[in-house]
Parts: sequence; C-alpha cells; structure tokens
Amino acid sequence: MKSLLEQTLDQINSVILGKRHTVRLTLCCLLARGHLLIEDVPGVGKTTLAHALAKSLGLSMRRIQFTSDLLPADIIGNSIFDRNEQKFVFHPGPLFAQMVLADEVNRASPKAQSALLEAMEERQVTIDGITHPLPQPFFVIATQNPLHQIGTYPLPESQLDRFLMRVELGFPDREAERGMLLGGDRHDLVRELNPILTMENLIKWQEQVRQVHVSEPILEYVLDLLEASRRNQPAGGGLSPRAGMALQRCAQAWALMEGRQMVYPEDIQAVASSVMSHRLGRSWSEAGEEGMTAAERLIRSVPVR
Amino acid sequence: MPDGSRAASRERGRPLVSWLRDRHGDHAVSLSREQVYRLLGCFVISVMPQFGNIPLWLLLATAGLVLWRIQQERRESEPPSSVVKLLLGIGFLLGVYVDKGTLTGRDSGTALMVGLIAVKFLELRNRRDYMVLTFVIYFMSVTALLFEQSILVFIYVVICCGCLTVNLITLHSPGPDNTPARSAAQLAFRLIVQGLPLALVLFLFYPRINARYGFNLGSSTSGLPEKIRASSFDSLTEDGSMAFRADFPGGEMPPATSLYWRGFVLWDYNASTNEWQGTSPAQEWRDLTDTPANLVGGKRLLQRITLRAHSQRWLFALDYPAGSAWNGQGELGTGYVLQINRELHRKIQYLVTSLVDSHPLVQSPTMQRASLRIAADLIRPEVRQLAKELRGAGESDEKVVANMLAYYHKNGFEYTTKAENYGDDPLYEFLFVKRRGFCEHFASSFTVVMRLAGVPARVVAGYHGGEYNPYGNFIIVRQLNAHAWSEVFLKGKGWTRVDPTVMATVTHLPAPITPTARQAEPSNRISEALERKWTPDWLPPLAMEGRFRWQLVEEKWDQWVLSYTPELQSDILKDWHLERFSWEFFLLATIFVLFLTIMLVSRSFQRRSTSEEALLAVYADFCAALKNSGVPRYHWEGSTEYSQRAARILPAASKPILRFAREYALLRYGKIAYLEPALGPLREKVEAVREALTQAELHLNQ
Repeated sequence: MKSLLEQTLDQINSVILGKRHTVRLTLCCLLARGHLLIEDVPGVGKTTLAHALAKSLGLSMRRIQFTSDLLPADIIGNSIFDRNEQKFVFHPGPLFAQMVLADEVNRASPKAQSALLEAMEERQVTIDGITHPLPQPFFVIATQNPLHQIGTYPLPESQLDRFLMRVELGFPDREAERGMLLGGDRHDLVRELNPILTMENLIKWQEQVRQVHVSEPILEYVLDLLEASRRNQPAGGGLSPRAGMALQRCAQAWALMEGRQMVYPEDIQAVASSVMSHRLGRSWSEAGEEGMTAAERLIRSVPVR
Repeated sequence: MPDGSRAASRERGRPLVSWLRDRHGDHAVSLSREQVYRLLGCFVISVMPQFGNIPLWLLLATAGLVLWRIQQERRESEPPSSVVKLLLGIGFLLGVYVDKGTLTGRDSGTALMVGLIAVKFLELRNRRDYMVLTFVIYFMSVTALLFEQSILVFIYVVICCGCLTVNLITLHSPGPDNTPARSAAQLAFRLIVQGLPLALVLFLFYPRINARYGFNLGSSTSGLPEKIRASSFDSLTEDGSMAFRADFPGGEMPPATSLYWRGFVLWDYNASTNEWQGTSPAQEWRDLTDTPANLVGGKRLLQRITLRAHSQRWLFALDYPAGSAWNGQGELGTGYVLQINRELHRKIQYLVTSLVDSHPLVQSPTMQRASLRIAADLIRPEVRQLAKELRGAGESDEKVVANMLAYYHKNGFEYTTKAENYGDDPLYEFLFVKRRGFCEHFASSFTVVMRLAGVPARVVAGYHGGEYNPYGNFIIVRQLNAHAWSEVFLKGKGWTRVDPTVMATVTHLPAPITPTARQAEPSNRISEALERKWTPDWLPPLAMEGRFRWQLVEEKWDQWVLSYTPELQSDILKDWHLERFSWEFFLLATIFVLFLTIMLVSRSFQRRSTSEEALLAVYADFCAALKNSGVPRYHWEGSTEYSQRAARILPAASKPILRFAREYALLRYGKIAYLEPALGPLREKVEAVREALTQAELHLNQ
C-alpha cells in the first residue's frame, strides 16, 4: 500500500518540484477527508498542484474562478424550466465534481463564498427543497492570494475553520526552479500523468485512517496542545474543539502514509503547523519572535508525553 | 500539563466496560497477510491428527478452500459473496449427512466443523472474525482427543493450543513488522503453565458429563469380528495397533503357555456359509453352571487390563475369568465370558481375577446340546467320513481329539498368514486340498469334526500371547494377536482347551528369535512369529529398549490420567463428602469462579498504569544515558525525533539508539494489552545503548 502512495507522491513531485512536504500534506488532507486552503501568491503552482493531484488520483475535476460578480448559482447550479417536459430541471454547477479547485476564493462576495463553504461542510446541496448529494470522494482545494487585498473579501476566521488544513507553497529553491526552467511546459506534463490510485483504493484508505490507533498518551498530548493554545488568551481565543479533532484526524492520516497503524507524537507535530496556523487567533500570530510560526511556538511550549 | 499521578489516577479509575468499548473499534481493523497465513497454519496443524477420521472428499474440499483463501490474500481480491458461502456451507452439511447418515455425533460433528471453519476463513477480514476463528480452532484442535487419548495426541494438542496462543498474542501486539516472536512464545508458555493448576483442579473435581447421552462418540474400527469365518481375521494379521495391555498388581506373572485371553464363545456353526456365531444367544441364555465355583484347579491371578475402545460388549481376561471385573462393569456370562451391558466406546481399565489353567468341570444339558449341534447333512461326505474314521471302533473322546491332531500333523498342515481363496466350501478345501490356513481355519475345522464325531466342542475367540515389557512388567496385546481356538468337553476332565493351530503345526514354525527368555517357550510361537513381522529382528537393541520404555510411559499415562473415570471421580467426591453437592452447586461455583476471574482481570487492567510508569522509567533511563553523552532531550521532542537527532550526533551508538526508539514508540503508542513481558527486553536495549556509548567514549579517550 505504501508503495502505491509513494508512487502517487513521486508522480506529483515530478511536476511540482521541490515541494515534497507540501505535496505530502495535501494528500494527507485528502485522506483525512478534509478540504484544503492554499494561500500563496500567484504563479507558484497552486493550480498545477490541484490538476496533478486530480489526475494522479483519477478524480474528476472542475475549476471555479472566483470573481466579485460570482453568484451562488454559478457554483452549485440552478433549476431551469424545461419547455418540453413542462417542469423545472436541475442543472448541476461546477461544484458537482470529485475535486473542485476554487481559485482565488477571497475575490468573490461573501454570499458566493458561503455557498461554497456550506456545500463543503454538508457534502450536499439543497435547491428548491430538493437535496442533491455531492460526489464521493469530495475534495475542495481553495486558493487565496494574501497580497493585493484591495477589493477582496478575506475569509473570516470562523470560515477558515472549515478547512482542515492551510498550506503555503512558497517559492521553490534555486535547484528546483532550475529544474522547472529546464523541464517542459507544466500543462503538458500534467496532461501526460496517469492515474495511479483507483477511487476504491482512496475510499478504502479514507476508511483506514479512522482505524489508525490513537493511544492514551497521544490523546493527552493533543489535549495538552489545545489547553496550551487557550492559556493566557482573550475569551474565545485558542484552538476550537473542531481544531482538536482535525489535528487528530490529520495525524492519523499522516501515520497511515508513513505505513503505521498508530499515531506517534511526531505525526501530530508534522501536521500541526498546517492544521493550526489558520485557526490560532490573532494574538498568537502577533507575538511572533525568533522567526517561528505561531504553531511552532505552541508545539515548543508543550512537552511530549 | 497534568502531572503524572493525576494521569495515573485517571487511568486507574477507568472501568473495564469502557475499556472493552474502546476495544470494540479494533474489530474493524483489517488484518495483515502474515496474520491470516499464521491462522491458516494453525488450522492445518490442528486438522492434521484428524486426517484418518475425516472423509477424503471433505479434506480435499477444505484444502481447496484454504488454497483459495491464500490466493485471495495474494491477489488482494474480494471475498466471495454470501450466496457462495451459504452454498458451500449447505454443501458441507449435505455431504456430511450423506456420508455419515447423521449430523450429530463425534465423526460428523468434527467433519462438519472442519468444513465450516474453512468456509469461515473465506470471510475472514477483521479482528472480530479472527478472534472467533481462533477460538473455534482451539476447540477443533481439542477434538483430536475424542478420537484418541494417547499421550502423543495430548502433547500435539497442547502444541496446537500453544501455537494459537502465540498467534493471539501477536495479534494484540502492535504491528506485523514488530512481532517479538520469541517473547510471544515465552508469554504463551507462561500462560499455559499458569493455567495448569486450574486445569488440574477442573480435571480432578469438576463433574464430567458422562459421555454418550444419545451422543455418538464414534467407534474404533478394528477389533475382533463378531462372526468368524474363513477370512475374518485377514485384516488383523497385519494390524500392530494395541488391543489392550495387561499388568499384574499381584506381582505374579502368568506362565507363557497360558496366555490365552478369553474373549467370547461361538456356539453355532452355519454349514452353508461356514460361519461361526453365537454371541447373541449366549446373552439370552444364562447358564447357571458357569460360575467360579465350578472351576477346578488352576492358580488365582489378578490382572489389570487397559482395554481400548472396540465398540463391542466383551472384556478380555486370561482363561478362565473367575469373577466380575472391577466396579461391576463386566459380568461373567455363559461360557465364562466377561460382558458389559453397553458397547465400549472409550478406553477403560478394569481388574479381574482369573483361575489360570483351571477347567470348568460340569456343564448343563442345554450347553451339551448346543455344543453338539451341527447340520451334518449340509457338510461334504468327505468331512463326515473323516469324523467317522477318527471315532473308529468306539474310541474314547480323548482318543478322537488326539486322532484329529494327528491328522493335521500327518498331512503336513501349515500355518500361514497369507490370505488365500478357499472356494465354495472352505471347510473341505482346507481339510483336503490347501492344508494351510489361519487359526480360525484350524479352530473351525477342528470343532466341526469334533461335533460330527460326537464330542461336545465350541470355538473361543480372543487373543493369544502378547509382548512382554520387562521394564514395566506388563504385556501388550495387539490386534495381530487375535486368535481362535477350540474347547472340547471331556468326561471327567470338563471343558479342555485344544489349540489345533499350535498343537498341529508346532514343528512347522521356524525357531523364534526372542528378546526375552519368557517368550521362548513353544506355545507362544505363533504370536512370536506374528510379532516378528511387526517388529523386524534387525531393529537394534537400543530401539527395542526405547520401545519398551515408551510403552512404560504410555502405561503410566493410562494409569494416572485415563483411568480417572467419571466413576472413580464420583467415588473420590464421595470420600470427600462432596456427593451431596449437585450439579446446581457446581454451576453456581462455576459462575462464582467466572465472576472472580473477571474481577481479577479487570484489576490487572488497572495495573496497566503501573506498568506504564515502568515503561516511562525505562525511557527516562534512556534519556539520561543520552544526556550524559551530551544530547539532552528537548521537552517538546518525541522519542523518534529525539533518537534520530541523537543517532546523528552519536553515530557510534546509532544502531542501538534507533532500535530502542523503535521498540519504545511501539510500546508507548501502539495497541498493546500487556506491557510487562516487553519491559525486560526493552531494558536490555537501554543497556545496549549504554554499552555502545561507553565503548565510543573509550575509543575517543584512546
């Protein structure tokens, strides 16, 4: 099983150069049945990553470019009157795909954003009183541009909590960038990718993630982390219970990817940054020191059990 | 962070129920290929002793299913649909029903169990199935004892249970890559040894289900045939399996010439089929003359006989048994035959006294008639002519007997163990054409001719001779010792044993090669000749001695374990005044003991926290050792990350450090029910780290 996973990762890494850890986190998020938020400047390969992932996993993929005039119906679809049948027929929107890339999600109005986020949470769409289930598996990759914020609606923290992970791609290092310049066109590369995993495998692994053993000391460690994040915080600060569950689920997925049936503290730490950074309140991010992220500082403040 | 004691008290306060509920999630965890293979292996070895007891088609079908399961595992294919499994199950049910005629009882039950376990393997996917199958296979391996209770089978069953236990332990240890096979085996051994006292108490005091309440425990396949005809002993001449063992608690051995083990008496000769029978009329017909009081002469000898199950009603004893067998199990019937009132389906042991070399002096008129009855007109005139010649001009009965023996002698009759075709009239063929045969040819022809000549005669079936074990002072009698001889009633002497096989052919037998002087005496030569076939004379003396020693071990096993019958148990319970406790009492006691056990088990789970503290102490040791070498642990570091960092800084000790860390992480974060057995090896690994560090330091200093 490990070899299949590793093969998938290798294939994606052949397109996205120098971002092994981020690619791994992306797959981890998918196995943990969560949605992913990629926050980065344009041109670092967010879209390519989503394409490569969808292609390698053999999933159907749709892309929605968020703009300020996007309407909810543009995402989820709408009912149109069919003259022949004399009734309204539902035309599903681009959301009805196994993998949805929501590009520049902060450009759209809050109304359109919340339509996406609700569908993400419930994995179904209700229109005209009729519930349409979304396909299985259902995985949303949303991207957000942190710069050029004029005329955008940044997602509020309460909405950010809906994303299991937030990752940053960042600029590649010199060596990777060199490889990129030498290599062919990324679009062509993505087109040539073959699906390695089947959907059945993916769903099976998603099942297995829940069965990875979380021992008593690990539970206590997660609780310690949550407790520490809330200490000395203004009311409502710190990690939510949902964040705790997310941390556990991601660590399970990470352990499974490492070929283990039990979670080690290192698994928690490996995913902690991506799971916690967008959930930790402003007070954590503001007190930055020594060039460490908020999540890193939190981890260093809690002893491993 | 909550301090250690708070965490420990939280752990201690967890009741068993919540622990069990947590465990429930395990059942969904899928199994590794090795685990499936191991369980299949356990299944195969526990079926192995049953190979002879299970129909061949079922064995083949089971083997096919096992191979199918292996193929499934290799191809990671899906299990067959429930319809297929249902059909297979029904197929086995029908097959066993057609084959055995019933679905209950030992034979069909075992066969069915083997087949259904194989079907269950097809749907083995998670831990719950695994546990169910493991426990069924435990039971399966024990069923071997329903067929044979020898010490070897017992040891084999214990080994099977040991393998299954090792399997269970590895199932509950963290991962397939970390199966401490040795420590699992050690733990299994400890568990079994710890279970022994309980097993002993249950064996001694727990009331047995008195077997065979409408429950067929099966039957042994070999033994003396109920009817005797020309070929009935064929299958026995090669059969080296034990019929019974006799030892002599009085310390006195019988003379070798008297080793005639009386089984049953055959009265009726059917001339058209050349068959002897008559055990059943003998039952209805109680002749009061056949009592110990009517035996004259002879020496009183006490025997203890351990008789294998033979599915028939008679018991064996030296000629002539003079009293009932122990515990009233056998009654002395007409013809001095020991009988029990039901068929013998398990090994038993009994004490019986015989008057060796005695004669029953009188006989009743009924018996006189029965021992002369013969349908003369159905017999060829040549045979009748022979009888007439033997009688000659009114010779005495003794003379007639002697004449007949002389006839065998003169005409060169030979004893053979080879089966031959005797045609339509085996009696005539044997007496006048072939002139060679088994003991039953001799006994049958002799008795028929005696009756034709007017001498009361009967055929006796039993065993003759046996193998004497000088170490244990007992005699082992095998199926190949099966024998038939005649008895004639002579006026003034009473019933007299005449063994035409020996008396007529003794000079034709080759000189015996004897391991012991006792067996050198002439009358034992037939069994001697047979014995040599079974025990080749090239067998070295050491092997011979080993065989005798092993027989001794088996005898002790019989004496100390198998002879502890339900009857003896109830006697002992009576001695201890426990007889007034009914089965309700024992049921309550069982429930009480189970309750106690659950209490103790739940306590041991609470003790887990103390062993967890011990585990943390070992880890603290490890950290201290590394800190001494200049690599302290940051408090936020996990054990794996820390050890990897330490291994980079201290390359000389990297191997033991990483080895320890791997093991520790599995124990700390893995799914382990019992920590204690793993702690010792873990401490050794810390020592190995210390040693490597010291070595590295010494190296640096030099």
